Amino acid sequence: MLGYLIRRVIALIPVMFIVATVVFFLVHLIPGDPASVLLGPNATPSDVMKLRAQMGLDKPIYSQFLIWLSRTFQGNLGESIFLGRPVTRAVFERAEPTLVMLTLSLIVAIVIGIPAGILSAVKPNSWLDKTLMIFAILGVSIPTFWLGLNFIEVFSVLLNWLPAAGYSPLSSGLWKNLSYMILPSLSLGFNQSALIARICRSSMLEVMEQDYIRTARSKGLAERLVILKHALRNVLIPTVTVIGTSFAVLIGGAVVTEIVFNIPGIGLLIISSVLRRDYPVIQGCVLFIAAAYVLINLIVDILYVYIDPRVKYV
Amino acid sequence: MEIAVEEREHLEEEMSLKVSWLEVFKHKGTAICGAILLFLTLFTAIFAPHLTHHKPLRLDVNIRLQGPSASHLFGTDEFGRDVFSRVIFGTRVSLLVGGAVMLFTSLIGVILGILAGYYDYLDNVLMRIMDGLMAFPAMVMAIALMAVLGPSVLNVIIALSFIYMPRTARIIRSVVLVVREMVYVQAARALGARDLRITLKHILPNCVPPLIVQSTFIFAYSVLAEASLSFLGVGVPPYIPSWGNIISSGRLFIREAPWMSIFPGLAILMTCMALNLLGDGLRDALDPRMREIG
Amino acid sequence: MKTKSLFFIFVVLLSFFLILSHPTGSEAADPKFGGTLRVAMSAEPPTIDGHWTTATIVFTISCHYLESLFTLDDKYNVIPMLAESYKIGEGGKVYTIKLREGVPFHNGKEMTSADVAASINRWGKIATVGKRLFSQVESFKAVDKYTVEFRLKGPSGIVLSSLANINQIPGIYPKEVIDEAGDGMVKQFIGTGPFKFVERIPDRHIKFVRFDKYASRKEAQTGFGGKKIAYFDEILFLPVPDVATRIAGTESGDYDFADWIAPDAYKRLKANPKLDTIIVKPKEYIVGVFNKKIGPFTNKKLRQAALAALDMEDVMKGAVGQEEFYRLDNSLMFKEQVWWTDVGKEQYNQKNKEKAKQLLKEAGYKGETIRWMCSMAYDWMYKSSLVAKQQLEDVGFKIDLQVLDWASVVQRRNDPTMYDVFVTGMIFFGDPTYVLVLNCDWPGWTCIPSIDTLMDKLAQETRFEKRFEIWKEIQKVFWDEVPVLKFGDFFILRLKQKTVKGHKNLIETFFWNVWIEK
Repeated sequence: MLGYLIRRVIALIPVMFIVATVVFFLVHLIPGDPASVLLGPNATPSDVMKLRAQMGLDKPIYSQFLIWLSRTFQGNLGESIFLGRPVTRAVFERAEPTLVMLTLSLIVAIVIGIPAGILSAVKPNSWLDKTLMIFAILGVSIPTFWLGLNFIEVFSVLLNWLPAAGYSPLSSGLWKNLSYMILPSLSLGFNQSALIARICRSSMLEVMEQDYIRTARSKGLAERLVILKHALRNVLIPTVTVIGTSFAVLIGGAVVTEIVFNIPGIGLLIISSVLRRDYPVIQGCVLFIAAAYVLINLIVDILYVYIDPRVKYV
Repeated sequence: MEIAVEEREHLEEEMSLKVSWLEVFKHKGTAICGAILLFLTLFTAIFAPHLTHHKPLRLDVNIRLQGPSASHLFGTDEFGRDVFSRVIFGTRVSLLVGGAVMLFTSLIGVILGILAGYYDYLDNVLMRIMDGLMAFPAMVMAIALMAVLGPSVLNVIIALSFIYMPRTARIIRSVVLVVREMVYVQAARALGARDLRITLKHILPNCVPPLIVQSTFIFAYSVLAEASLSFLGVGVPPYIPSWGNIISSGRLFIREAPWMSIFPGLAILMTCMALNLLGDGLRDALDPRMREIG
Repeated sequence: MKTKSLFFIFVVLLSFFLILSHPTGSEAADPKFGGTLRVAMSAEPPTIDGHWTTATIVFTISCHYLESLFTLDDKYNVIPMLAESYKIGEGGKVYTIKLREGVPFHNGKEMTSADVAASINRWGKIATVGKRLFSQVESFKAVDKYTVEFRLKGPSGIVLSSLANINQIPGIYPKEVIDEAGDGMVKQFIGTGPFKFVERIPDRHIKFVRFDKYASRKEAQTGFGGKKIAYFDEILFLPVPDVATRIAGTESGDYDFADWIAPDAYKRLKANPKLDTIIVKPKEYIVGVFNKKIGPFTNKKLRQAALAALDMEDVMKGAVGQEEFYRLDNSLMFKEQVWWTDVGKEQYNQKNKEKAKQLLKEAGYKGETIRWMCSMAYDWMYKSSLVAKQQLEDVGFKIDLQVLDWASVVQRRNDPTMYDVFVTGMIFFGDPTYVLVLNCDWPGWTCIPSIDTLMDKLAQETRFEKRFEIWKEIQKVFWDEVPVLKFGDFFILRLKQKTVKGHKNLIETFFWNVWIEK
């Protein structure tokens, strides 16, 4: 197990290297550069050239890459061109809204998804099952941004129950923060809840057919106990998998949701940085997100060992 | 990454099942529903010009932002363009993007997956690259790629294919790893059969079932992804009717002209539901346990 | 007894009358000090260094802390601001400007000629308008503690209007701040204005607080000058790039003031009893700039063909939507300015398809694809392009519409191999010598010898009547040569809470002499 762990951690390095390479070259391929954006629409080409040289953008791309890479290894992600502060600081300042939204979305997804999946599985092919599964298909098919727009129109504009957009930091109060976060989290989480519900249901169904469950039933154990003790354990596996992969999907959805709800999180930071060609910030954010994704997957894989005794890592 | 033991068992079982198409549709009402809806969508896309006499690109600023009426079933947008025809023609974009991405990811995914699964020395390199690509947040990659390539339908297809291709590659690779160890394959090898022959005769046929299922879902993801990218303004050019584009421009007028947001959203919903229903049905037919891998 | 009760009734009636006649409306109430103003802006500014860029949003923010020697009144004429007085001598070649005394910077230091010299010299090196001015300047220096002097190469008509520019303003910074900046942006945002800069957290807010020691002028407020009183304790500028969010946020009370609101929301917002809608007239005009260096539009006939085909009413209606927000006008300077003239109006808005087709044939157009660049970042750019595209294609042009993000447009328009037309907006110019579309160096490369000569004359002439004649001549050549397509003027919508009082509706917005009435 320890060997496996060590190997997985070492395997992270080439993965992150690939991410770093891809993001650097991708971002530098985008036409336009931060110097011309910074100087404004009426700058002359010579002004732009001068600023580019100042920023070190006139060096050949490979040496720029190596400089950035070596600095990154030492933990220095550079300074944002537009925000005038170190990239790490910029990311941390903007991390809170995104993290809150992701956590809430995941909670929404689990709280809706797991009970829905279990309920459907307990009474397969009943009207409850069919209804829930239709909602599940709906959830997976609905575009997150459209759902968000409709939520805003109904709950903010028409009913005036919740604010339409923006963010209030946790330090200003939990309830106020939640009032801004409910709608975005619901939009994001709905999609994932559908996925979790479906997987939960199918795992439960499969497990409930198994011999040992039938044996337990025939022994006369209360239905509830049977479900809780044996089935749930097996449901955890695919559910945990989905939660692991959910993170990647949620990040993508987070970008769109932050735009729809104007939440100043990492998603909006990336978008505005792309528009402004703020290379260090784009690169830094992508590295952070990729690292988080890889770590979460690692944790999920490790959790497997504890919840599924059949899993062995060779 | 090694496959967990369980995953391997499932794959073996599923590949030994024979697929009977009639069986699929006999037992799964949902798959039938999905297929019918998809067929309707395809029909709409192909016969779009005959379904409406309005041109989706023709603007007339004097009739802008009018509500649904007899001549304009879904109303007009901020340029006076007929929303109904734009939604109809939007079907073409969505199906084109979804279908093309499905084809490209399958093609590239199969090639890479087979190479990785069959040749160990390539496996490590290829899989590390695939892992790296999958760790990259997809939406960010899409936006950056579109910024590099420029807005066009082809570029959306390229960008999305690039993003979804690792998924298919990994699945195919898993299949290959399992098939490789099967007795009759090893026997064929011992008898001196060439790699290419083994690939074509034994490996490829086993790839088909998971590929079909995965492709259906990639189709659905692509439709959603294209809509999201167009909504953000980095998808297809804004004057080409795409459901995401229409919703994006409708956003400003959501109270003055809600029809611009509602109808294209429903179109996306319907198409994706059709694809998901179909995918589910296919997956059930091939092996219920595939759910954990897809 | 009777007299007493009569008297009592009289007193009651009198008190009743006095109570009822007491004004309950807040119209005539006194301004109140205190509170925070929350302003939703359309973007995060690239910087708040007032000299650095022509982006109008930079002025919107920096005018609160930065002031210049001169500024504009409500008729857009030049008036002194930090200058006390000025003298023109030696046949118009020497401008001696006397500074106001006892004007403090936010760091407590007094403003002197050393600060003015450093600031204006820097501005003259990096600002478009500054560079134009300094090309006529032989020397500019401080003469004594409160006097600076321009020595010109020849008479010039643009000295004062340049120094009063309300875009990329020649703001006065302390000398140390200018020296510290070197070739880059200033690092400390210290000026003489009524508000003091506190902090800038990009993508979150820019914060200003009242500057208690502000040295205000005594005259009544007029335009951007006169007396300035900072009623608010604090002003927060919040970047809200998405217009739908700006509107929703103001409707819900999160913002007190929002700029650049979509005109299509006008009717609905007008009906909202809690909000005031402000139409800002004028604002900008939309132009389609031809690439006259390389490509099909080096041919004047082809440009004229394009102009002939266009129905400007439809283009503007598509671009802006509501008719209260645009007007058709062929003048290159706005109707609200003294420079307005309708010379050349026969060429504008011809909507003559037959003539266009004829000119196309005469120009020898063989169906080459025209690359037309625009951006969604300013939706009127894209919308006007879409309508124009259809009209031009109806007469036979082949147009490839490229919709890019603003950074790409700004970069590509400097490269003549990349486009044939790009669309942008012309901002307010205090003086016609600054109209960018007539400039040979600016993208599009309007290098027409007759215009160049006339523009030089215009810059050197000092008397308004003579300058106006020259300007009319220039506009006549413009409408014959058609270096760019002018589509029309547009106005923007601003939104504020009814409780925000004292706001003056000028082309740019500012928040001194403004307060909140609760």
